[in-house]
Amino acid sequence: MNQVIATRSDITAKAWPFYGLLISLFVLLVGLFFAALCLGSVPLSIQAVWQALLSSTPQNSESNILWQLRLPRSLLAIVVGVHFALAGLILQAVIRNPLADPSILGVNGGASLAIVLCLLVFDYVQLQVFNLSDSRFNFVWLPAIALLGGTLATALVLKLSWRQQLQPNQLALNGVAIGAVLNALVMWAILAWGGNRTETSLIWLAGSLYGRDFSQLLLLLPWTFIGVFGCFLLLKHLSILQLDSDAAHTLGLNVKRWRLTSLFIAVALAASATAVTGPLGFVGLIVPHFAKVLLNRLGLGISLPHLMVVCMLAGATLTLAADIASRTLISPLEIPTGTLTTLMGIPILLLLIRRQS
Amino acid sequence: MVSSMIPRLAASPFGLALIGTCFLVLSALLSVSIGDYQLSLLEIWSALISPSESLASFVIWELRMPRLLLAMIAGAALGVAGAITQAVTQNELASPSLVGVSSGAALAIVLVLVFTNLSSHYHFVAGIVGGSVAMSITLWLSWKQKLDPVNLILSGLCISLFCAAATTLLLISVSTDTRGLFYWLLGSVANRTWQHVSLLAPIALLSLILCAFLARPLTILQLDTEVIKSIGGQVKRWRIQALALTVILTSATVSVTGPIAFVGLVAPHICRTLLPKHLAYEYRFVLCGSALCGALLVSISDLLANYQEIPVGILCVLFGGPSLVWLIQKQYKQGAL
Repeated sequence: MNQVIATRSDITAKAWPFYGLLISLFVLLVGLFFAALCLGSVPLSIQAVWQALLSSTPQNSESNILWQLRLPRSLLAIVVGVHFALAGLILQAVIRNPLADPSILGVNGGASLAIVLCLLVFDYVQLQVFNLSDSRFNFVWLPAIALLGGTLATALVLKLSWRQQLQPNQLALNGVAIGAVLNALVMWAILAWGGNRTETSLIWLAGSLYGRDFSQLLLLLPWTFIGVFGCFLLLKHLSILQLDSDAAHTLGLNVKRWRLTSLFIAVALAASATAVTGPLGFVGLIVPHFAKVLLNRLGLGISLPHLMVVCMLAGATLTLAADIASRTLISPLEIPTGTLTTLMGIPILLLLIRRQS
Repeated sequence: MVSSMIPRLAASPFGLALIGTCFLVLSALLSVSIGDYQLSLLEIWSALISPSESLASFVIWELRMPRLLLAMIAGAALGVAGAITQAVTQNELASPSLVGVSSGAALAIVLVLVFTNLSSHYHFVAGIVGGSVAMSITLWLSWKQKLDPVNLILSGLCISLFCAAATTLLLISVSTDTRGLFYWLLGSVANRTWQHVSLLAPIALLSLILCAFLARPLTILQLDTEVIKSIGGQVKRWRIQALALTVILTSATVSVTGPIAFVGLVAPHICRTLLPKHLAYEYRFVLCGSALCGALLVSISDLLANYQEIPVGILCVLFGGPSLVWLIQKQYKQGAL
């Protein structure tokens, strides 16, 4: 919380190590991307991948695997990673709470509940009113519905912890309690009315990138552009919002308005990603923490613009790596990516809680 | 006359126990009679006193009775385990599921189920090992913070989440069909037989009797540690005994019903609210009351859950989660945290 905002001269003096960090992260990401294309239950050689990438018309099974399965999936992993990492970073800056994360604040739970309820109601109406047995749900609406659910859940958690000035531990406790209730409601809905959607819903709830194609990527991209663009527009306000609200007031900022705007963008980023891949727990907690440690170790001041860029790259790298692990560790079966990120995130959460006290 | 009796009854612990037992009997009657095959009171009575080959008697003795008994025993065990945990950690937010015992036990049981084919008696042993390990980690993590209430619960929740994620991982990575296990993990007493009852009942009853001996030490443990030591109390021994009983009660329940969360948190609180103020920390009454409240909670929840065939664990989370939030608010308002 006591992050020093580096002055401009600091930043220019330390520009080179920073660009070095960016370049190495980028190289890592590209390397992982090619690894993601090569590895899997059917291993492909790098030449085969390269040839299949260059010729977009599918001729053989290799290029089919690449274009139908691995390419959309890996790209989606990257995009979703950016979503969750940025959401986590904004939440932590705005709430001034290092424990903030979309999965802790109830965004994921609220989004899941909204989506599941919406799908079930839609199925029901279609069956009863129009007598159609196959679902023709228009998935374009899913991110918006998720946004609605996520916003409501987050508002509830924030409201509950408002009186204690959003004290970190209490906020986390409230968030986890609300999350448990939302999860139970989702389970209830699925088990009682799920019908033939039960199995797919359960897989989706664990947070998985299995079987995603380009249509889902296209669904998410507008939200990515809005979110990332919004983040960079908000940069100036966010660095002031990191200060306590009195100081922010003195600097002439309409604290309430910009706080709400930033929160909304964070929720939108997390909820839209949840709509496509299901909740990938704790990515928003791990990545900003990791980015701060990285910047500190390299002796670079933690300035918000730097942090944001590093978070985007690191988030993409993390989810891509988690996705590779999730489909190669016990291939040909798959581990849900969300489970893996949760397992990684909890030790870090414990560390942060420890630091709080 | 009745209207003047009830307040007077509710003022004394024995009257409260009487009222609680009445409710318990009522919920038992309801859960025996309601279902796909409706039974009248008369039919229940005749099937209870003279079990015959009739359908009513089969439904009662083989289908509904084990389920009801399991719900009650599990509720009582979890309620008492919760009361003990709260007494030992001196933390009103603590409960077996919030300090990680339940999910640790569940993880260990799933491990045993997946990698070995031991009989269900060993599941209980595995549950004890897993539960103790998970609880020790939680206590160790918040030891440096002097078991600060919020810190303890947050650490426990983290351990629980971790164990739950690891359990999911395990279930998915084995290729056999795990749908039954999935239901078990949500906490359910559906489709249980007398075999399950005979697994849980002896252990649970034995530990509950042992708990009765701990009532006085638990009451004393509410005092400051230094004070207890000066009057010759064995703080460490009592704590370890009490926690061991918590782990045994919880693991035995988990191995049969799966992790049912929040009962251990809510039951002692309901009991304390109902008890007269000066008895609210007298553990003779708190333990009995928590057992009664727990049994009531789980059996009524199961009655509601049975209506839609959803696992009872889900309903318990639905009323337990909001109560946790409410308790947090209350404690912060009182400045206790």
